[in-house]
Amino acid sequence: MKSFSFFPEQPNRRTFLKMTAGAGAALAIGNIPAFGINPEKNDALNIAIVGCGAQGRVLLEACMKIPNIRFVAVCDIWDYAREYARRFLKKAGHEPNAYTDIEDMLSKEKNLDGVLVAVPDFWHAPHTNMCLKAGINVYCEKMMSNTIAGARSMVETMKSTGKLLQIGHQRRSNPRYLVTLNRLIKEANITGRITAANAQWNRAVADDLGWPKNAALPAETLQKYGFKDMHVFRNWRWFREYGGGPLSDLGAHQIDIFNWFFGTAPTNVIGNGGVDYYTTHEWFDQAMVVYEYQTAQGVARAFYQVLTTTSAGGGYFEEFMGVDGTIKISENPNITSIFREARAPSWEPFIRQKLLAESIDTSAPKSSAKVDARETAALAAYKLPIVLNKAIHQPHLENFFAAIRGEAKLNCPADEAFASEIAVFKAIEAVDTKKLVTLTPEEAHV
Amino acid sequence: MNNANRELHDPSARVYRHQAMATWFEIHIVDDDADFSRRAATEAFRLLDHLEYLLSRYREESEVSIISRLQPGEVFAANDEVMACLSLALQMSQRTMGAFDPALGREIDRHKGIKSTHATKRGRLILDPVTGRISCEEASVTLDLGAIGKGFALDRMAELLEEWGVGQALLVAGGSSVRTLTTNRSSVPYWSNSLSDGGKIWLKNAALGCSGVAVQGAHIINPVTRKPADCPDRVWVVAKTAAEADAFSTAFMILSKAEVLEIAGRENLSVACQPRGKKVVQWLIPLDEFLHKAYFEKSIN
Repeated sequence: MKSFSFFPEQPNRRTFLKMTAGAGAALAIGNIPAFGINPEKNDALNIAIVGCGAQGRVLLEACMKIPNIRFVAVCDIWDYAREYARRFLKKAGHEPNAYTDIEDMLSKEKNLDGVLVAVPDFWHAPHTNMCLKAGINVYCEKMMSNTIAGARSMVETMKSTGKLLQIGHQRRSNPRYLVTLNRLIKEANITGRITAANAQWNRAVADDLGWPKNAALPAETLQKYGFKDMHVFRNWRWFREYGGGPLSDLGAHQIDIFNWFFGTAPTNVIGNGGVDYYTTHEWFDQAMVVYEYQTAQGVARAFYQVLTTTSAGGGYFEEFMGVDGTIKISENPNITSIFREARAPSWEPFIRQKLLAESIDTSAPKSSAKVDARETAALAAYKLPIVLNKAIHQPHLENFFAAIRGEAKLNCPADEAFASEIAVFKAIEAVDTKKLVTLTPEEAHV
Repeated sequence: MNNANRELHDPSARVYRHQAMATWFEIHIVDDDADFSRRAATEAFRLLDHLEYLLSRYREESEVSIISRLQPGEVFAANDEVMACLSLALQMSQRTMGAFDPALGREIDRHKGIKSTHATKRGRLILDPVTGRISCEEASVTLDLGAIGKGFALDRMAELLEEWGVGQALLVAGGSSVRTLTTNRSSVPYWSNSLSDGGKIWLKNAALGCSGVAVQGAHIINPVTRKPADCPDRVWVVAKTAAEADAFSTAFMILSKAEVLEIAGRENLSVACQPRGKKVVQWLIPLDEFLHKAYFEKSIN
């Protein structure tokens, strides 16, 4: 074998050893106290989670970053998912009891302060109502329900029981969205009058979900809980009996942002879409809708698109277009950007106040003090200088837990979420009928 | 592609492809059930996307980005996967005498001409794998797990596929990281992988990692000089896991032959090298000296 020829000027071993053992080491093992439960404060909350699938796991992971939360129960009809959650929590120092059935859980767990509901949509209303009536506060994932009647019943139960019902529109607690709405739009009015909005969620083609060999649920269990078979159980989002399809699964978040930012529900909607690509789905794989809003500033129109056949077009975002500027915001900060129209007053004061960060494109002239002939200038672009140093669901869960302790108001109570819920149902109706669908203020409230 | 045109030993394998971590990933599965294979691969790719979301330093909201922004005295409760990857990165730093360094993000940015907003002083992160918490000392640390993240993801994906009941699979990231999964349900337990000189190695429950400068140019940062290292064109390492193979192959790009021999002997690794400007692949520790024959066999052309 020829001699092995590494380069000639490598650092020697002594240098490297010094780095790993001494001040040069960037990582080291040490003891950092766990969040644990604060025995002095005695305000730990007893929490259960119902539904330990993909979304349930997201919530569990976010909860692990929040102090003084004690998971006492996990519930899921699928032992594979339930065991995952139980093991996950046990590893983090929790000792949850495991249940297959929520009624069994509620009959045995008598000290619950809150339940996180992350089951398929058609179970949201029954499970949430059951918990509220048992005197337990609920954080329920969106959509609230797969039917208007179901969603309405949740608001009514929340009101009649006086318990808290937070709906999982987590952007409502995201400081980046809160600053955008409250400081940039309402206070600084950097967009001027908003005349249009645009939002989308585009995803590449994805295969249906499967399950591990030997992990299929027995047919009788599936039937007991309303599922035709294991394939439907795993892919309920695509079937009309169980959920609302992509306009609901993805669109609900962003249509809620339309309502929240405009401060009202839409008055009508037109739409188009269909099951154009997939052969095994009942719900649209692509849909495009246009809402009309009567805002305090005048009419605004909002276009929403959800495509599950392509990831092209820039991912997922919401964009609010005003006469002075446009704010494009997303949970993904890399997609967020802010554009100033040439006619707008200077934004330098907002930069000094740290509401905006410096222009991304520095080639654009900042003032018109002198005429400077050059290539066509791009719109000046700015950044939102707000960084979320948390998991994206964490602030919304923190808000829920703070509300249970009486330290905060819910950021998305069910009665407010209902207006977004009804807007989604109306969009689905518009796509189904290909007709203009109207929404009255009475319909948007319970 | 750095190292390999993959040659599947079993032509019945079904191949699935996905983009993540700024490269492509492939999963080859041998199973009679096409629907099951496709959906198992889909689930593994979902896990991959989740890991990228957690580990990418190019996403402002990732946990690695959040940890890199920690200021002295701040504490962060890390996700299990993030803690596992960082703990392994620390281990790999120690096992390579510091030649593998997961905290060179600032230097990599500088090399790429990216303006860094991170502190110039090199700080330290304290990891507590028991409580899952990370604290920052002295100054922030700009993590870059590029030299271990893809391998870490392949290992986790292989675990998931095994849990799902996949008996035999080959997982590849960008052509530079390979992980094989073989169980007692495997019909053909070995996967062959070809190197740049046409030589083949056969893997059974083992991993192959390749680092090189032939494709990306001089991008491997020397932790001592903080500048791009002068190194051979390529180094291959066969190890038990893809994360280890990745980290060792990066470290061996900048260590001396004596140091590589010492580490490889201690760690039971096989190592090959393509010296700068040469076509030939030289085996520093040939495969037939490799000690883990239980999961590895060789055939070199």
